[in-house]
Amino acid sequence: MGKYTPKQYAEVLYDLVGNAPSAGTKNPIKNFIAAVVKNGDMSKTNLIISEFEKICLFKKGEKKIEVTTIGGKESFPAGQLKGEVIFRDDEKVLGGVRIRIDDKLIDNTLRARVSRLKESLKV
Amino acid sequence: MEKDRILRELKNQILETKQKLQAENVGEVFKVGDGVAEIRGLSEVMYSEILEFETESGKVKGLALNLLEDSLGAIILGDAGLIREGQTVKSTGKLLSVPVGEEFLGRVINPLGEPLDGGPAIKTKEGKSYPIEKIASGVITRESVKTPLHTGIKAIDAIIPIGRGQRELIIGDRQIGKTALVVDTIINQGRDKHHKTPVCIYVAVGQKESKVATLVERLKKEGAMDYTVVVVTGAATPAPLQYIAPYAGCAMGEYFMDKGGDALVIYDDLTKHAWAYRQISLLLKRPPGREAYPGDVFYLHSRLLERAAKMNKSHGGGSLTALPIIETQLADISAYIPTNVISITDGQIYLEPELFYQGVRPALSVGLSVSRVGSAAQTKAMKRVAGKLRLELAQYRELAAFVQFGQDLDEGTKKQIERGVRLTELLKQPQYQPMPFEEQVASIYAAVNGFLDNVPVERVQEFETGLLRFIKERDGEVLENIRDTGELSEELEKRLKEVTGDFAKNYFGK
Repeated sequence: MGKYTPKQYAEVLYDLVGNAPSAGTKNPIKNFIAAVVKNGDMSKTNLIISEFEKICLFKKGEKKIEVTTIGGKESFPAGQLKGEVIFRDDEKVLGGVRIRIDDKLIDNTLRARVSRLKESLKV
Repeated sequence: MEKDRILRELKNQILETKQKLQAENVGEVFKVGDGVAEIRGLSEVMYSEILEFETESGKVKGLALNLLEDSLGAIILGDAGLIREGQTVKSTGKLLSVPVGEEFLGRVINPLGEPLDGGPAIKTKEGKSYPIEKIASGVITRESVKTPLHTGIKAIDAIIPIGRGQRELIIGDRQIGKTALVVDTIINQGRDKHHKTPVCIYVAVGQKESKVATLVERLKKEGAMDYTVVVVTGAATPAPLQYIAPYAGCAMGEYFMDKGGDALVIYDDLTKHAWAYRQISLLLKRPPGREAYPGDVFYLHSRLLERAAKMNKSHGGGSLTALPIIETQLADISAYIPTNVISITDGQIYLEPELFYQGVRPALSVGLSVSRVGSAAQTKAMKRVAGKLRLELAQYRELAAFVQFGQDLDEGTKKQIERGVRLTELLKQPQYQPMPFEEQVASIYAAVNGFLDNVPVERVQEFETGLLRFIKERDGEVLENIRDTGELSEELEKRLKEVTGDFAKNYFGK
């Protein structure tokens, strides 16, 4: 029996409990966890959950959006953002905003700009 | 001025009204250890792309090597201790490259072009960088090897000549003089005035730092650092840097080749390079094969050595000669990595432990050493005198076995053995004393034409020194002509014969 990746586990889980669950499965979550334990893959649980979240969002046509500013939710007009939005309050950004959508990052924080300036002065 | 530039830069940054914002490709460190990191995200990353780990103490560079379905394996090129799980990793869109330029001559650097000699940071005028991985030049751009690269070592220049653009392997056990050979070769490049001095790049892979320090000192003492770059990764350097070192050295050589010059790159040694790659591959969970090396260990060296080339005139006419070194275990040249590299190169110089301990130094095995393309580059003068040398030495080694049994031998065989003993003695050469090629010609001429036959074996070296001094005093023009024309014309040979005969007569008359 081969090893399964967290993504493969998550896909199977989504298939079992998602919008159109496979027919005839009783206690799918319990059975799923039993299978993970049997395969000795309990250490992958966190990854399976994060992959499962990604799949759920993908199926809904949405994306996970992470917005980092000073002040968190109050300081950013999030009305136009569609998807699961997570606000982070981080003083280290010094100002501006950092938006991350999956593995794309738009960084317009003061900290990043200072760091870019520092790099350009190094050369 | 530097100050003005900085102020201008700062002003532009502050006054910049249009924001140039670009979406960056990012990921997170999922696992880290032993100089290798597993990263999630970074969906658009390229193979061999530089990554930047954002740590609390600044950015650390990495290299994407394993592109898997939902993760990626990267090697860390800086301080791996700074990297933690969950840190952000950015792709840069750039392939790993090294800065190149004349400014590196005389410097000791790491594979990323950073100085290790305590000197100032190296800034090149041209500001050029070369990718460390590059597909080797194609057939159309090359031409055959035809210019000699004199090592200054009699045994090599006479029997196993090396040409510019060739790949000649130096193979042997530890502590047998492999590095000594290449150091002499580097030293000789500055002394060979008849040919353009090639830029020498010595790449130390996983070597003891003390050994490299001694080597650099010696090169400085001999004035050879002026045209040499030393790329160092020590035994304590992380495997990722050891892995990229030969490619970085090669890229630096290619810069000089592209400018139409000659370069000589020495990889010391590729056994340790293969070990470093094996370590990285195993940590990246690539399937192990024979001796636990990954399946592409052949390609690891073939793509590196294939970059050695002699370019044709329309492509600048430059050359890149490669002298890889392989260390064998208990003289086993049929192990995995030695056979791989032997099959890739254009010949090998095999150093034999037995000869070394008998005092034959350089301990070159005539039977197992070969140069596949170098003979085309050998000068006519050397070809003429050394033509029979290889055969005579090989026959002598065969016959030498009989001597040990004390059998009765016929006159012819005895003579051959006596000649062989003297030839072997003549080919011995002390370290750091490379000999100009014209002197090698005169010395070998005397040996193969029987002038040494009556010299007692223990006085062969003394005879040679005396002979060369005598020729220089009496008819130095002969040597100059051989050096300038590269030929031993009948007239020159006549003069050489005369002067050698006179010396021999005086020598025995004493």
